[in-house]
Amino acid sequence: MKLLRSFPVMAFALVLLSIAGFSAAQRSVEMFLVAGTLAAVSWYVTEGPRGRTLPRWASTMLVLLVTAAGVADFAVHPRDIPGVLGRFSLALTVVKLFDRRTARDHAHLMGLSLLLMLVGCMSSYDLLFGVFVAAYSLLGLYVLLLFQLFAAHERVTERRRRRLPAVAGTRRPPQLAPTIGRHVGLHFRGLAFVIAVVGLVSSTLLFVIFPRSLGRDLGRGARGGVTAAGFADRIDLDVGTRITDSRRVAFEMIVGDGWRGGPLYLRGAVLDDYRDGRWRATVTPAEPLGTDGRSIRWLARGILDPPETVRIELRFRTPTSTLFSPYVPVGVFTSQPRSFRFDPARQTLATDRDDPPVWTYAVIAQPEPPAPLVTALSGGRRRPARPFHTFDRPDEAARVVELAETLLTEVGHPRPVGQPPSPEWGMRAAEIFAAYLQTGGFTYTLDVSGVVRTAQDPVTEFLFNSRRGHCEYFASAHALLCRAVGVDARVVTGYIVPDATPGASSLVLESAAHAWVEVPIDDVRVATFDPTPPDALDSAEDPTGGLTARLTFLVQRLEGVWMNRVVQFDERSQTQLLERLTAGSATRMKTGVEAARRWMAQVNRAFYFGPAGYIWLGLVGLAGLIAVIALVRAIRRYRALRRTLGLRTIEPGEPGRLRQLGFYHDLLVALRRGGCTKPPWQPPLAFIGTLAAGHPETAEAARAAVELYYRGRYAGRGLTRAEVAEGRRLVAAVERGLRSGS
Amino acid sequence: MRRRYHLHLPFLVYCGLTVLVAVAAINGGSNLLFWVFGAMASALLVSGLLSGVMLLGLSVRRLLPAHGVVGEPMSVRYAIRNRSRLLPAFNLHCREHASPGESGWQDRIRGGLAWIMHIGPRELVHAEAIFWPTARGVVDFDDVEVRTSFPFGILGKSIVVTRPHGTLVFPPVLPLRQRVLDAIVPAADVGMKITQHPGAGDDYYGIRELRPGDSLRHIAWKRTANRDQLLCVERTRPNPPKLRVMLNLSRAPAEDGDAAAATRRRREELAIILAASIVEAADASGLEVGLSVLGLATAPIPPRRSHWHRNKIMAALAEIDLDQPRLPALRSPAVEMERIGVAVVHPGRADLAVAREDAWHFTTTQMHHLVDRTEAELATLVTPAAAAEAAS
Repeated sequence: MKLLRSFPVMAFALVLLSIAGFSAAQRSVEMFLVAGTLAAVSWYVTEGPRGRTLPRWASTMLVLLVTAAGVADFAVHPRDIPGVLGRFSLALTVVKLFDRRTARDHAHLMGLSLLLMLVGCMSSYDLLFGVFVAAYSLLGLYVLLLFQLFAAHERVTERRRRRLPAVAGTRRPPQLAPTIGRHVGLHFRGLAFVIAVVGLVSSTLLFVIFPRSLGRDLGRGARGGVTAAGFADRIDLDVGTRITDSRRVAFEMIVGDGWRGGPLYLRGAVLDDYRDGRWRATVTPAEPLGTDGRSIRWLARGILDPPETVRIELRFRTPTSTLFSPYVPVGVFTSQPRSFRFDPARQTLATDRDDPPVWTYAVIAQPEPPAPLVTALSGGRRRPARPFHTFDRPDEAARVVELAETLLTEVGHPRPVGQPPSPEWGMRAAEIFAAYLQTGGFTYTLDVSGVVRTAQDPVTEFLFNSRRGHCEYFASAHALLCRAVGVDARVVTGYIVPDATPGASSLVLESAAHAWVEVPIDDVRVATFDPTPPDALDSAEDPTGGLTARLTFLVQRLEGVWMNRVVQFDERSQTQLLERLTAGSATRMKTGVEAARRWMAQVNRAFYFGPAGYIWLGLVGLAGLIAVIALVRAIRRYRALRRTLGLRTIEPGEPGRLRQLGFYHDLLVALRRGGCTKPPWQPPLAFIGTLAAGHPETAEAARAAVELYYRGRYAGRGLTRAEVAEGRRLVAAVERGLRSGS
Repeated sequence: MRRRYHLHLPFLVYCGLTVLVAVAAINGGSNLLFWVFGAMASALLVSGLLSGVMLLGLSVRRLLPAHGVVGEPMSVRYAIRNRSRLLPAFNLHCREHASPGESGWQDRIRGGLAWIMHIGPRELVHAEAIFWPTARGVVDFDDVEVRTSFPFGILGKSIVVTRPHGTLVFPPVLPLRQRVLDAIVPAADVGMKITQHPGAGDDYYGIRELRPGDSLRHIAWKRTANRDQLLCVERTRPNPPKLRVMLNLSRAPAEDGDAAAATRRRREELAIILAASIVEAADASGLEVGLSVLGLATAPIPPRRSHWHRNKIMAALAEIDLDQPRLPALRSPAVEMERIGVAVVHPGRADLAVAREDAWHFTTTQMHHLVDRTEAELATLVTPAAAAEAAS
């Protein structure tokens, strides 16, 4: 009963946990405070000294109100279906908490809490939410098991009450008391633990082996909401998402001694085409290059170990087809021969389409390249003076131009009239715009899901309305402000290492993925501008010193494990895991076979068996195997005989009797196989009596065998050898009779 | 032992929900949803396996009461043993299994349900189910079903064990109005007095030799001390008033035609109830009661007074098979000679010729005057359908 009484408290704790989990998924402390407080109040109101609940009509009205609010919420946020569903479920849960608490109401509440967590799963990848999911799973399992007992008790009590005849003066049955054995709490918790372990193992197995490629061809419209941080070779600002900080290690980097310090921008993709809120790279012909796996492959003719270069070695955790490099790469080295494509216009590197991606490579770069070097890299081509696209709508373009010119005028650097802007003027303008974005009241955030999408361009939305966004928004706004005043800026995506230390190895996380801007210095070279507020850039190195720093590092590592092992577990991870397992088992098997072979060789040598020794060993092994099988069979038969004869303890003389009476066990087995199972409660002779109706001849033989069994079991003397043989003969006769159906 | 799974609505809903989560996981590519899907699928697996293993280790035995009474709760107990060494069993529902379309115990009794919350490994527990008998007679139970949907309530599984067993349902006993019994209790040459016969009373009758079987407590020690042999005190036998209840069932229902047969059958049932009520009231008042059933081939029960004798009469009334061929009612000379009060119960019109002149004759049409029940309540007692309706 103590177990049953604990159910309401546990169920309430589960609901509270789901509310906290959903609030964590939505990253809303306000939501947790409001809903959590209301839930706590509901407990006092319904289970407190007064114990009052909402009348049905009031709860129905509130449910209708909540439904109406949910519809209105959906009208406002039509693209945020999980959020709308979650908020609706949360409100419904709070209303239900003030309602009556029958088993059905508890079931409703548990269902709503499950829905909250499912919606949370669709809208968050955070570690904190993962912790809530784990806690909810364990508590939910316990509460669900408890609910089965609670609901059954309530149902049976109600059924017993309803069965009472309505006739006056009827004697009433006693109250229902649950029938329980000893140690019910211990057994219940033990069983819950076993179920949790089995469930965890099997769900993990299903999670690992479930094919992730199934959804590849399905509609991607429903996707979105949350993405994990990481490199992308394109930018789509029109999808309002929330980016979760990925603590997954992208690669390990060793910077050569030539590095002078400062932030290291590793360029991956150069995006120069902006349309409809999306940045793309213009397709240009790339030159094929090849490495021989022994020496550095210089990227332009005539370049041979230029001065003031820096060597950077990158070891990726998952192979990559984009080769990241600081500006400007001049040479590449790989340990195996590979084929590359080098884009001379943008100075970017990628593996050839037909070639596999690379795990490790080294790149030689010159951070401050002279113009002839860049000219050589670009094949002597100068940057064409081409028109660049900014906004589709003229009014938006005009607003951005007006803003850009206002900013320039404010600092006394107006746009030259009647002539194209010089590179020096463009550099200065880019500085002014970067300073404006860093200090002009813009907020850096990874969560832009709350930004209301309108028909406006996402960059103008960012500049004039929301003023919130991540590095892609800052870089895009910067590039478009530059373009508004005629400066050909472009967005670059890659990785940033804010404090790369020369000669040291550091781990670069996926969360170090970044976007910045390049502005032309002259006809061939570019300068890097990073308009993102510097506070937003994380360190990629291990924190040192101080308990807080160590704790932070621990949490980050945990987040890394969470992101690597759970959130970003994909088809590629499945393949890697399978390869590792296959390789591991193959190695173990090979080692085992080798060890067995060595052992056999040692035995062979020790006993001087000679070449035929292996045959002798094989025969001994076979005999041992047969002996083990026989032993197992004997033990099983011994146990079955004890069970059949009902002998809990065996006296010194009993084993012989067990062997003698084995025919009775064989008789029961034969009858069971023939479809005549003896009920355990029926005495043997009575059972044979019932058997006689269907199988008269067989029953005769069985009766004789049973009488022989009685003699051996209860007459106080053992059976003679002849009697035992007679018993076996009778059992054989019973088998024959059952086969023939007599 | 027969085993089977029960796919009910929660199972279908759960399967639908699992498929939905799988689709959402595939479409959304959310690994947390993949994990939730894995957990839901494994819950299905665990549910099926655990409930099956749990039930396989059980053995069930039914413990029936000696008898039940129509309209009163009848407690049937089930002794359930968990033979498993490690696994406890939870949330078991034990009930009588009724094969669809078969008419058996369901005609006489409304099924009860025993609930066992927990049985530990290698433990034996007793669970109680309350049955409500609706008609008198022999109740033959056959199969016992043990069912569970633990641990998650998704998938139900049951085992059916054959355990043939029967019991008797006595007719209902109604409170007889006091003046009825006062009227039929004989007051002349019979009554509460001490007869000159040895017996099991309290008053002194005499001294005799101790015989094998006599209780040591009855030894007269003072007298024994004066003689060489053991003597014991003999008590008188009490002789309370006697009453013979005669139930006249000599007229078969078919004789009145098919239309009236049902009415006649109801009246006969009422007559049995009235007879049982008279027997009960007389027994409670300290009378010795006997029973004769006229028209059926049953031996008359002589008047006695004890708990067992009362149950014997009730069992005789419960076992009356109204489908038996009827015999003409004959007056037994032995019964005629008894110094005893006689109450004759007739289903229809009273036939005064079946008993001696001083006998009291009752008919079922007077019944609501004789017992504290209205006619509607009486109707529910003899019609199980009406009883079920009244219960609901």
